[in-house]
Amino acid sequence: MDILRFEARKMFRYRRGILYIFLFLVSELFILSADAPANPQMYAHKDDCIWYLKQIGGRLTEEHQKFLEEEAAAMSKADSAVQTAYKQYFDGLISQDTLEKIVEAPFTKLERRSGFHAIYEQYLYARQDPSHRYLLNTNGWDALLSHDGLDIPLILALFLLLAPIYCDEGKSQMDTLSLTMKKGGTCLSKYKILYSVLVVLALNVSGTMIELLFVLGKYGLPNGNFPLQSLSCYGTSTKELSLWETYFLTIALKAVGSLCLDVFILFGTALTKKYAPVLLGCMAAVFLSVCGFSRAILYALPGPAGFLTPSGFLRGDQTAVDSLTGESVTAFREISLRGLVLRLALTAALCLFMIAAVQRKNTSKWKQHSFHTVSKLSALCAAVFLTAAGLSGCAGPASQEMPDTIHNNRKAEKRTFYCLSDAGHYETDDYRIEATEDENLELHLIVKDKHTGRQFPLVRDAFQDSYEVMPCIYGNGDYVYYIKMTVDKSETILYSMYEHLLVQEVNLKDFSERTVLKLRMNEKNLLGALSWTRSADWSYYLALLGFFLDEDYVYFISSGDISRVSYLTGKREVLIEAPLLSDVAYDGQNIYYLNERFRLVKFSLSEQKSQVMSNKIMRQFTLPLTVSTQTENKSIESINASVANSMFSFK
Amino acid sequence: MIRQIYFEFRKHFLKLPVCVAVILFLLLDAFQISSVYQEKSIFSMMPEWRAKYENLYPVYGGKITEKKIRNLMAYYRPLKAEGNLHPGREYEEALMLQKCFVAPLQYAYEYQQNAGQIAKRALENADFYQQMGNIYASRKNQKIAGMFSDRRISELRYTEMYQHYLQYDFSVFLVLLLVIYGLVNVFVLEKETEMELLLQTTIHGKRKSAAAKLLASIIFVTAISLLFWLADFLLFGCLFRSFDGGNCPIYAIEYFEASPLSMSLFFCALFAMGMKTVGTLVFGMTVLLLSRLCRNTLFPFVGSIFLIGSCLLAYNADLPSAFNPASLLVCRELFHWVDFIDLAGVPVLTWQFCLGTALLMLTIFSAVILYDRRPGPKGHAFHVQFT
Amino acid sequence: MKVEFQNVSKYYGRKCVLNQFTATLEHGVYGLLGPNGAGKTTLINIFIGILQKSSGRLLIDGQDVEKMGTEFLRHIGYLPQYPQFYKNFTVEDFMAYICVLKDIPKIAGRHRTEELLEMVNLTEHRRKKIGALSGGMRQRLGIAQAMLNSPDILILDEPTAGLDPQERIRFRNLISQFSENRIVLLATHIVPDVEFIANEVLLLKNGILLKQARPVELTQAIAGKVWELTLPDLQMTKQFDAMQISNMIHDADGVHLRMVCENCPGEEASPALPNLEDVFLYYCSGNKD
Repeated sequence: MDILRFEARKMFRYRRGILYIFLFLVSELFILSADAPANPQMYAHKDDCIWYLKQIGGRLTEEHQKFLEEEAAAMSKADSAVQTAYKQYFDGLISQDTLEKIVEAPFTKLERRSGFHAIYEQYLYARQDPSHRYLLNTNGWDALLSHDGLDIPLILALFLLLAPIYCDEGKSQMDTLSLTMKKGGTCLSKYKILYSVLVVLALNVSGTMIELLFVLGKYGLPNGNFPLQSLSCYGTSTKELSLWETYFLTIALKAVGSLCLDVFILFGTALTKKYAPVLLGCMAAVFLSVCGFSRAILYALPGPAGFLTPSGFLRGDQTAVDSLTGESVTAFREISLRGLVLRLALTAALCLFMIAAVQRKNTSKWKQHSFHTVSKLSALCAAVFLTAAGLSGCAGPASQEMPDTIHNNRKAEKRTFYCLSDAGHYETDDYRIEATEDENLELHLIVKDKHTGRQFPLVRDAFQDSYEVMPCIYGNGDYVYYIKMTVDKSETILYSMYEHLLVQEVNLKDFSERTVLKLRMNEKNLLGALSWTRSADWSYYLALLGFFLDEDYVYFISSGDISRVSYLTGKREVLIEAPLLSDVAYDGQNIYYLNERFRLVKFSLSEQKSQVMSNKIMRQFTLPLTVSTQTENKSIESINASVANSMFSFK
Repeated sequence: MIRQIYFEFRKHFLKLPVCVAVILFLLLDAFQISSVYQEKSIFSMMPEWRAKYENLYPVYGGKITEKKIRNLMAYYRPLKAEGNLHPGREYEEALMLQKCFVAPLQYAYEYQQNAGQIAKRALENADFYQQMGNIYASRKNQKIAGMFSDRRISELRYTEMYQHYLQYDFSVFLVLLLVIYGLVNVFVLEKETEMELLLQTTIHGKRKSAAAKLLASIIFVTAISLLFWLADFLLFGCLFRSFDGGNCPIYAIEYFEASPLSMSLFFCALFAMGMKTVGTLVFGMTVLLLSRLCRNTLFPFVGSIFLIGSCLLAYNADLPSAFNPASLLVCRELFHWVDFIDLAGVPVLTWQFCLGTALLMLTIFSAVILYDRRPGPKGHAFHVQFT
Repeated sequence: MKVEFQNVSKYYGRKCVLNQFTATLEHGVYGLLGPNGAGKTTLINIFIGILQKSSGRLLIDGQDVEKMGTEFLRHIGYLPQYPQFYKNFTVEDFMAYICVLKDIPKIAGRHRTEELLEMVNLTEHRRKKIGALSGGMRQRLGIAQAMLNSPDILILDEPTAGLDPQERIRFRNLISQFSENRIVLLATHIVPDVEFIANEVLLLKNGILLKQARPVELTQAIAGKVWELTLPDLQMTKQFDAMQISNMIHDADGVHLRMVCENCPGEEASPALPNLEDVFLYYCSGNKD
């Protein structure tokens, strides 16, 4: 124990180990702070989802299926009833009171629509394999089990803490001195190895605890006894494991990977007493393997790399589209539990061999002749290693999936009014800009000079075949904004034909143009960094109705919601869900929209709260720009009632 | 000075561990290129196509003529129709023709027209912006018009090798690791062996010694970079069994249809080697700077990994890359698109700006590395003695 | 305690660095003397077990060291050449650490530490960091740690290299102090260190043990082979370039030479009493036994 105490003092006090551990913990927290839910809809409507899951959560039985189908039908019916009732009302066939009575029940039904939608999507997934795919709130489990990058803070911390264990002894010439002492040499080496193992395990446990507590607090971890296949990323797995079992297995495998890296570092430093070649070897073993090799090779090789990204051992077969034939091919073959055990055995044999080599290096020559036990152990390890290596197989080529990436530029200035009904056009004193289709149904954004009558395109990009423009624009004073999607011409087009979504700003004074927001729609084929999860966001942007922006965000309007994307992070968050979103307005501080009851709602951006503004039922409303010049710096509430009523036209 | 550079080079880089690392990494690189070939080459996925392609290449490859196109379409269309009806041998052959001849030929044939359209639109834009008083945008479009006005692809060649070579990034990792490994000890070694004190007492031990180390490091980084990029080129050529297409312009590959460069693929490959080497040199100077500041190898090594890794991650996350040396390492992205940066109203191509920034960084880092604030006479860094 | 080396050899490829070394050591100070590359450090490294011998045996009290296991380590205390130790450890902490490594119980270790620090005159520096100690202090700390387990065999590799004369004298006295009832093997090429305290000298050259004898016996063996001569000027010394000149002093009276050679170098030369340095020169500079 005294030796351990001294080793601890050397590591933590004299080699600044405490500082490195502190930096490690801070880095882990920083990474966690950037976490986003895998299923944002389920996260946003947690209560509704929980309500449904109480009814039909768990194994999908016939009754559950019936319930969901009936519920879907009921939702559809309610939706239809609401639309019919409102149509009748707007046609003047029924009064408002009658309308309220008719729609009361359907609206009650539709309150849970968004949550039901999230559950129904899960149901569509689960019904493909009801015996293994259960219904549950997946965000917590996805946060723990589906992310699979390298834990870089952990790896760097291991380098900084473990590499000096033997290197420092060599530098201070204590290694030869310790060989002449009873508890030096092999004994001391054993304690060093033991101590390093404890440090590695402590780092793993602390990182795991932080992550677990964070996920428990943010998402919760219900139904841990459900099968692994309940998560879509493990949908094709054939392993009979529960979610908790999978989690424990994952952290155990990650700990194995860390310990293996620990042994690699100790082996290298004990033999060479030099930092550079050891760190080079470890970098090659870990980073090159993960970033360079296909998943088949990564998980076939013994060593730390595969175990540091452990989810691959538990995933099922992955398919990809053959770029030549367009057919589906197996990109990654599932690793059986037997295969996993084999790889564990290989890695363990390799580690034992390395430990034996470290011990031999730290043994007095007088004892080495009697090192029979260790020699036998080494020989055994070598035999196990060679046998296991011969028996182990490989999976097929890897699939590649894309993360979203972002690029952001300057923020927009504070603006005045915007209406969705004006999404296709914008007008200033000098120009009118609108989206039109030509005879070939190709979309163009045309600028009309009000003084001369001249017309010319807004988008003055010479490479017209390389992008597509969306039919929505946003104007703010002398600036007009539009969205274009650049087309991907690279050879691997897997999920989206678009490369980037760009929000462009055009200055109407001299028509200079710059990019305000840039979002990646497709995989970036740079330096590996393979990811398992597919970004679903690219399809969201294809169905945009309009957009507007302020200093910090770009707000996108689709048929079912209003989302905002931060310039800084590029992450999209749903701000408002309104299934019948037909009209939206923005006055610089608040967003106005018609809810499913066709009532005007005001959403305050500063308070992040909604408020129904009027009991009047309206099909549409606008904020006329003519009024805006008088009321630019005032909020809607400051306008008197008569003016307020006149602001909204009822159609 | 030359002798001093030689000794520094021998001391730090002509060592068995470095040579072994280089050889091992070259083997790893070869393995990875082989994987790329297996996974991405048409003839690797469809080996039976190669013979057919080699038979048809003399007929339809080479200079593009109307007659060739007519003959090809006359051959292809019936096969396609038959293949759609009865998937089998005809379908496969039609697919082969489509992938290997029809699509590339169509692209090549139509390119001149498309490029002409781009030039025309660019000229119109230039006039428009001139009228609007937007001189920068006008100049930019004039440059684009100049670039695209005379473009054409006159030959159909087998360019798959260049396509994959230019999009291959793995060796960048290997080179960066070798650079870190080689350079991290350059200044640290003197401190560890306590030679630093001795060097300070000699005439050429301070600034000149630092300059010699710097130059030897530059030679090392350049040599390693070129070794790997050339090895990649040769390996790709051997695996794809062709160096054909080197004379074709870069925009003969569809991914580079809007490339700001007009050089041939072969020269583009050489140019890419140069760009990557400059990018590697910038990172190398970072490692050297850390080596200068630290007393043992651990911190510069981990610090280098952290800094270089951050640059690569920032690049991968699409953060602004004009000042990021990683953009030079993945220079295909710079060659992919015509992109300008506004330098006091003058449109400068992004790749030129990145290259210029990198060279500036190199100069600044070199000056910092050579700066010696220890007391005592320092001598001249680059004094050459003629005997 | 008796240590026997029996034909211990070490080869690096074809090069022999220690050739059939055979010697017996009993209580006392043994000076291992020889020029650079003689095999002193090789012998010591083989002795303490950090270098594998090519052939031969080492016995301690008749028992083969290879069969003794870790018991062997109880008998030895070692001071390496140019020790750095842990710069951030205090003297006290370091001694405590060595106690742990030498399996010395805590309380006994603490007493022994106090005792030894007193003996090596480091008590007032006990709380100082090793990095702040001078070279001489570090060497004294080195010998203190070597003595912690009261070893029967004390092995010191170039212990006085880099020390000033005062420190060297102090160190020699310490060694003499510690040599009571134990074997001290002192490897050095600084002859005066051996001359003043060694009971026996082992003279090594090119891996071969040339002589093992008491210093007085060695000096007596070359009696009549050491000469002193005074010449009027430096130019005249050139005629003696081929001979082993052990000392040359230039003063107002001329150039005083002391040389080692078989025959009288000149009429003016007078025989001198040989010392160990002369012995070293005689055997290690081309003259053979």
